[in-house]
Amino acid sequence: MNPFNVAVAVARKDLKSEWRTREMVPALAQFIILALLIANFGFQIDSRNASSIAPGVLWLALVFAGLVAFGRTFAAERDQASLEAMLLTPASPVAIFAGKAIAAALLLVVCEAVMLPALSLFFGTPLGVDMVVAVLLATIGMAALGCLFAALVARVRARELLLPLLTLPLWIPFIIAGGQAVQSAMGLPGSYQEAIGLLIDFDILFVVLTSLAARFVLDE
Amino acid sequence: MTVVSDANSAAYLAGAYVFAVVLLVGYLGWSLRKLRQLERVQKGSSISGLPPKQ
Amino acid sequence: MNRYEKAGAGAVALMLVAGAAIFLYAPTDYLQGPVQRIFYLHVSSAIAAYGCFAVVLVGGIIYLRAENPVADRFARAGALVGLVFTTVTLVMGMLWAKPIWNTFWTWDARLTSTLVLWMIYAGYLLVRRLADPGRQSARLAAVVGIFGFIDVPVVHFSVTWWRTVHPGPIIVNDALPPQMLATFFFTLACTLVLAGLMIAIRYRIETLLDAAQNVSEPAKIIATAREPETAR
Repeated sequence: MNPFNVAVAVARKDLKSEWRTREMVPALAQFIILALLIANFGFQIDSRNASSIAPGVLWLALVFAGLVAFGRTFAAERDQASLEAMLLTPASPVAIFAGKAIAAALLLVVCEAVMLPALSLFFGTPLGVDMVVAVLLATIGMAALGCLFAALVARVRARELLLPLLTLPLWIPFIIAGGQAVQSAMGLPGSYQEAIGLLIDFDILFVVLTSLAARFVLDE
Repeated sequence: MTVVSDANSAAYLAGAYVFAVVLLVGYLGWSLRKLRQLERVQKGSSISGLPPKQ
Repeated sequence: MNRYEKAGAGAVALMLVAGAAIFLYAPTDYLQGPVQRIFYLHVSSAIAAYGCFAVVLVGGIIYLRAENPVADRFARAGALVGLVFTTVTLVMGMLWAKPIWNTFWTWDARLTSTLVLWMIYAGYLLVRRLADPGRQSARLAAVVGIFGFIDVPVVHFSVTWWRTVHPGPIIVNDALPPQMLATFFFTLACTLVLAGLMIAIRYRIETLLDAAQNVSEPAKIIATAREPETAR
């Protein structure tokens, strides 16, 4: 079985089932808007500090939405024991993992499509290609890691506790580089190109590592 | 480059080493005690299949 | 006294000799004053911790490939001992920072990545506790240990890079006179000996805990293949 086709098939399955139920995206979108609201009150946003606080708010909201999204990535498979069924097929576990990671990343991208305009609206920050590219690049690596650890804890009883604990430390490099890229895009000092370069490096590193690990994690 | 006086400085130095000694020696002592407890349990266990104490 | 206890006494004696070197032999730093002596044990602990986490890494890799329980037990031991040494590093570092930089904490590369290190291996131990004991727990933890080990230098590098954009209050005197260097290497050696012994003790504890658990769950003995208990 062609691994690329397998990955696409798994991704399509996930996205189709989300489209049918339409539960995750609306919930995550609402969560993000609420997060921005709370940030406004928590940080006493005014026109002077908005641009320095906005990048932090962006990443916090994205991180927590991501944790919720990845917490649910393997929920359906677990409930219906379909992961074992999938693994019994000749499809490579890495391809299955890639499919799930792609689907989860796309869900996150939809959330970002809600968040970036909302951030611009509420915080008055500029919304340009620079920002979008930075956020998308970070999403790739974060999705790979989030999906791997979601698979790791899928069968553990305390998964809601473990997923954030395990995933957040590994997301930190993406938040550092992504945060810098977003700050530069908003006009604060710092090198945009360097930050983007770092994001790409991290993406490559962690996508390769998670693909190597996927074989062991999914192979029960 | 020290910001505080020498007397305070010595206090931080002492505090740091006291903490390290307490934690390291404390952990060593605790793990040795735990090892003793487990060895005693194993020696006293009459269930066959356990290896003889080495 | 069993042999571990004798070794423990020896290791503590070694550390006392190192202490004598630190406080009596090493000269006082001109810039930072007596507080600088924290450096010897603080850095040695950091290196010992990272060595312990290398044990976790190697143990995890071996376990994933060969399902060898010995490797898994070493990984467990390394994680716990490493966490102890990381705690020492963090607290000593904070107590060094306050008199020098007038703050207990700063987000420089070393403190930040050490904190991340602590969080990762605390998470490792939590995974072991919360996952089903045996194979699930060992596999999960192996992956956490491997990713954790890689993440720390990545975080360190990221923060260093970030710091070149947002410089922080770091003034470190890197050139060490020979007496300080000698004291440092001696302290490092003693600390590594202590860490090695702690891992050996914990390994033995984990072996006994495994044995006790196997006895209380006879079904698992029948179901899983076991290595001969007398193998060491």
